[in-house]
Amino acid sequence: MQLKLLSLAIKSLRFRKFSVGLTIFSLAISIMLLFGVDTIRVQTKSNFVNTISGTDLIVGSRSGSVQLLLYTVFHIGNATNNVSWQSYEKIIKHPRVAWTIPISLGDSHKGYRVVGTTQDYFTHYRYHRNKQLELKDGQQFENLFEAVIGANVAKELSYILGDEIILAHGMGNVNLAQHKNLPFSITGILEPTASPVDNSIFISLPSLEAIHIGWEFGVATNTTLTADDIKDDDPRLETKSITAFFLGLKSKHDVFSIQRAINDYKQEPLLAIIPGVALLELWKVIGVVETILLLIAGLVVITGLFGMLAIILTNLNSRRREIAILRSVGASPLAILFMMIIETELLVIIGILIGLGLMYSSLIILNSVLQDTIGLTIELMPPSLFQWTLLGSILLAGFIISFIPAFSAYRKTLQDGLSIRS
Amino acid sequence: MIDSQKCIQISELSFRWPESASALLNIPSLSITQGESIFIQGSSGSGKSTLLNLITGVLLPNKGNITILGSNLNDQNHNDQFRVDHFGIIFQQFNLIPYLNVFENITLPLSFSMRRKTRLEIAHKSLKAEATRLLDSLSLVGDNIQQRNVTELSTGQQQRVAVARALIGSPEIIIADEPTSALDADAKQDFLDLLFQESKHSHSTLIFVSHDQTLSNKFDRILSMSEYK
Repeated sequence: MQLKLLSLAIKSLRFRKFSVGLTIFSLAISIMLLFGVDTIRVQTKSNFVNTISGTDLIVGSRSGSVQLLLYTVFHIGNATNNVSWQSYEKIIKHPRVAWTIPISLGDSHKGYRVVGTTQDYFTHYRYHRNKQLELKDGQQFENLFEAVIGANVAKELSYILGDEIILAHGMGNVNLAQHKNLPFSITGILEPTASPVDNSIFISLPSLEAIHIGWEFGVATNTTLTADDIKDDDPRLETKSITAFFLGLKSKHDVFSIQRAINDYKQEPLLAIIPGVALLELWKVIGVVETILLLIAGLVVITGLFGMLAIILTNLNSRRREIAILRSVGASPLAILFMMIIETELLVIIGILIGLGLMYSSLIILNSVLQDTIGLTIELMPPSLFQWTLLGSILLAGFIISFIPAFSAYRKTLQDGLSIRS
Repeated sequence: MIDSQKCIQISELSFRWPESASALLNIPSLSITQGESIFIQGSSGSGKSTLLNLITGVLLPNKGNITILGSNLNDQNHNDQFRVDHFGIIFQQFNLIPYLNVFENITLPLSFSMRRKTRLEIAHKSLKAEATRLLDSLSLVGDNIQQRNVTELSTGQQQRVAVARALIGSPEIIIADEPTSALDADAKQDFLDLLFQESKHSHSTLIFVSHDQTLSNKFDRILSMSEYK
């Protein structure tokens, strides 16, 4: 008989396809929104926390850990001090260090940061869980006055390989002293990464030294120097200091001991941070927005459930006749109650299934767009534990809500008996 | 079925709605034999529907006893099953579930009543064959009539489907509550003839309620609601 009730409920829902369809659709949309927001939220967080990955420590002059993270990874703000080349060389010779990437900041081009580094950047830098930087066009810098630019820089400024760019001394967009005499040529353009790399311009450390010949006091004293005046083995190209460096260890187990050793380094006040920890710290501040979004999406689902309740209650009055007929053929008031609960719960289940279907299919579409434009990938994953909990709560909420029309129908059933009221 | 068996027995019955001061119905004694056809005459508001609700066990009397086929109707949970097992009920109009087709409407009582289903099985009749036989004898024919949507049928046709539903599985008692009020004069007589013929065929007791006395001439007995005030 339970099967009979289920089949009656299904046929009854099918008969009212229009209003039922609308109810399911609005519920499905709200569920799509909730799970979409949650999926994107989780993955944005994981991408953010993995903005830089594979790097065990970031080392710079002593300041705050978030500050060091901001200027080395996000290129926001400036270092207060540099790290001397001697200290750098000493640390990289430590037997437990596998690799390092030195970075030297301070110059810019039309608002985009210039990063002086070595080719190790392209070899060892990892983002979003172990993804390596890839060149979309051209090749890495090899000689003086060659630059590799991030995807965003190329897109926003419409640069192609071979274009010449002039770097400015300092950050900002206006009135900066420019290294006009020594233009750079673009030799490579990177694939989008959805990370700050997209907004960076990479040059070699000797190139960076070269454009600062004659700038020892912060202003240009020699602006007539040209590329031809500088040879590759010019002693003036020797790097004296860098802003910071990324460091990879042979074994992750050594992270804390090496971090402590660097922080206790006597010759120079240095700070070593674990990027994941610092990123998580930063996320706690900016992640609030995502929690608010999730909260709003949750409210939309609640609205959807109430909309469903309203439609079911409205339909109920026109179904008193149907209920009287069912009673005349032996359906007990309890059977009517069950049928109403089954109907409501069916709506919720179908709504959830369609909602999840919509979410996954729109993520697939969104994914190809995001991948092409900003290089962000949203992995399609089965519902997480949290999402299963959400699903369970929605089903439970639907179940609880279903008692409202069910009891109303039950009461009317007892009132009306076999007499048909219309 | 033994024709002389007491089908419905009512004694010392009194019913009033909880909010009303005076009793709506008072039936000192009423006895109906199995196979009898009874016409109950009464204007609207005379308590006809209430009487039917009492006989079918939807309502319980405040005082007195109702015995149907030897069973006392005083347990409401039990009554729902009892009703479908022993009663076929036809309403005034809109008797059918709009989202079920003709066949599904006719066989609906069987999914709630094992007793009526078993009765068909003992007689070696398939649901399909019995539905076809009933529809034929009710002159409801047409291409694929059983699969048709009931909302496509005329009112007269719908009422005949309702009769088929009431008769399927041969319940002992057929209750018809103003079943002809939506039909025109010719159709009324035809409908009544069919109803008589089919309840005779299954030896059912027929209880027919109407305000229209012109329909009463064929019945074994005529009761008037005014006697039960």
